[in-house]
Amino acid sequence: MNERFHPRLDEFGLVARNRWRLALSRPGETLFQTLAWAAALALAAWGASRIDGDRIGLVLHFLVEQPLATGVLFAAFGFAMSHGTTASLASELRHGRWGATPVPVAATRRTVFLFALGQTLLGNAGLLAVLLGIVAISDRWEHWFYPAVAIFSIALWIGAALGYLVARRREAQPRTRNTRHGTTKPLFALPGLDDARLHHFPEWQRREALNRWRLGGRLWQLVAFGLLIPMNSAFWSLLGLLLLGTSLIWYGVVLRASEDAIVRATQLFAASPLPFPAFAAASARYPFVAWVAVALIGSAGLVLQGASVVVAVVYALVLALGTALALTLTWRYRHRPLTARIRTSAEGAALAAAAYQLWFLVPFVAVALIARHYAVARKTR
Amino acid sequence: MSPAPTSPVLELSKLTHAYGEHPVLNGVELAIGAGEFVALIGPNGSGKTTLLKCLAGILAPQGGSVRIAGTDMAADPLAAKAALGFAVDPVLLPPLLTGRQCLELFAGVRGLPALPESSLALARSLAFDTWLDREVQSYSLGTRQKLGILLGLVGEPPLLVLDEPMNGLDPQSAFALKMHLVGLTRERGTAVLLATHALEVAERFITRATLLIEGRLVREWDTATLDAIRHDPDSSLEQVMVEALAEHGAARET
Repeated sequence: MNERFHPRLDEFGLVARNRWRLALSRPGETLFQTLAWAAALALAAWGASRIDGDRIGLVLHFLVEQPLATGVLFAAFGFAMSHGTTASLASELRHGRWGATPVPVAATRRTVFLFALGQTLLGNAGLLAVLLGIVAISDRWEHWFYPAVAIFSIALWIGAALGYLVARRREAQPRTRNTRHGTTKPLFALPGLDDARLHHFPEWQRREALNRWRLGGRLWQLVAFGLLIPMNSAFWSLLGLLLLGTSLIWYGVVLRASEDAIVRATQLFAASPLPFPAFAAASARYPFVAWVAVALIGSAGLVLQGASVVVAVVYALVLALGTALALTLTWRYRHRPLTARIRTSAEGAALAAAAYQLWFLVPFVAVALIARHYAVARKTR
Repeated sequence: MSPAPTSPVLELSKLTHAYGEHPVLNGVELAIGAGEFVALIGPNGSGKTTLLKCLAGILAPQGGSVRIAGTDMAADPLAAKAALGFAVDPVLLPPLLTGRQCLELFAGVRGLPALPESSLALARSLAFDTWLDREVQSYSLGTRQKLGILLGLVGEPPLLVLDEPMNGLDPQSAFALKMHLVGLTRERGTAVLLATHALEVAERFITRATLLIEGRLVREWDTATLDAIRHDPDSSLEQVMVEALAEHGAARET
């Protein structure tokens, strides 16, 4: 064992080595996966080559012209990234399998620092790669590239350093300690929220969502949203934008929490005689109530910004379709949640892209996809 | 006959802990000497696991002190933990490592150049040797439990702390583990603290039992009392503990 670092570092290396050995022991599968990734990358590169990089360059130019706001945005991103990793790793080393072993405190501190440093380096490298990718498809990039690299990187490192320091200060306390306090009391009671067959399941989803919100779920999105609000807007317009943005960010937390509760409930009820339609009805109840709330608040926000009622109704319907797509995919892949997320992102992005040219067809395609996912989910054991 | 307790290997003094506003440990006092095999018993939610986590330095107690082999856990956690073997919760095992890799990592932490023969011997006794080179993700609950115990016993430190170690073990492995622990207490003077609900198991092997209720050690049975229980065909530790719980409940109501 290297005494300067925590043995978790050695464990990390061993896991990587085991994965590599496993890949070598299944050459057919590994070759197929490699080819699939290569094909996906080639497709992505081909798609990227057709994008007008100078248009993205205009956005980046706009960002570097406001260095303070942009800096705060990237610092918030760096903070969230570093804080999350540092806090969870420090908690794992303190409360997990290594908790009772005689590992020097300095070795633990060095290891947590090394992980945070490595992650920030990777994050910065990823950011640089994205910027270089945009340079590759741009004709005029000199006026934004160098300032963007400087502002983004410096802000990212400052944010990451702050995230690391704050997480280290808080590490003695378990992360979930205070956030669960009071989650049993809803803001206002909704008798219709409880499901007759699966009592308290919607309540489980609600508490999960509230706990995540309190843990800072999507905080970076709120910060980013706050920075992008034009301060010279009229009061009602500003209020409308705030209602629209914050409700959407909150809804993102609700949907993810509800989906995770569905996956865990699937494991919990695996041996129970529970028909799928009953499970689906119970698990859709809380997201439905949340959709009603977000659709009303968001539509009000749009109207306050001067949009017509038709636009507000379309917004609510689009939100409903998106929610139904995410839920049916979660049900369909309830044993494989990662697949559900990837497909939700991919199908959502494809529908959004199609809406530019064939908007009249998109609702029908979306409904067909939702029906198909539900039918497959119903047959899935 | 077990050796008489000498200077305590484990000393808990006025240990307190709370989760938020909910107190779990209320001034626990306990001393365990070398060669003692102590069972920590108590109903669900009495604070057994919290007590074990506090004494192992996994949770920081809010009051009181923990001394292991004369070293204060708060002042020098490294030295205190070097004298402690704590069985790992099977849920926390790394799924992508093999059992042998886990054991070698823990041996390295204890400054051992290689996996000690004693660990391999215990692995054989627990019928774990055939699982040593397979990844943890392929293990059953009982096999994971065996690895968690083996990790706690690497290097055979002077104090062993195990939380419900018999959970999921087949009868043959459970017996082998009990005999191994008894052997360690008698031959090496190792102190063992075992939190368990399996009173019929505890009754046969332990030298002392202590009852934890609502974060307080409310009753203790020494070796002589345990011997008397063992020799009385109409009595058992289970019966005595149920009576003690009833007495405690009645005392609370009055």
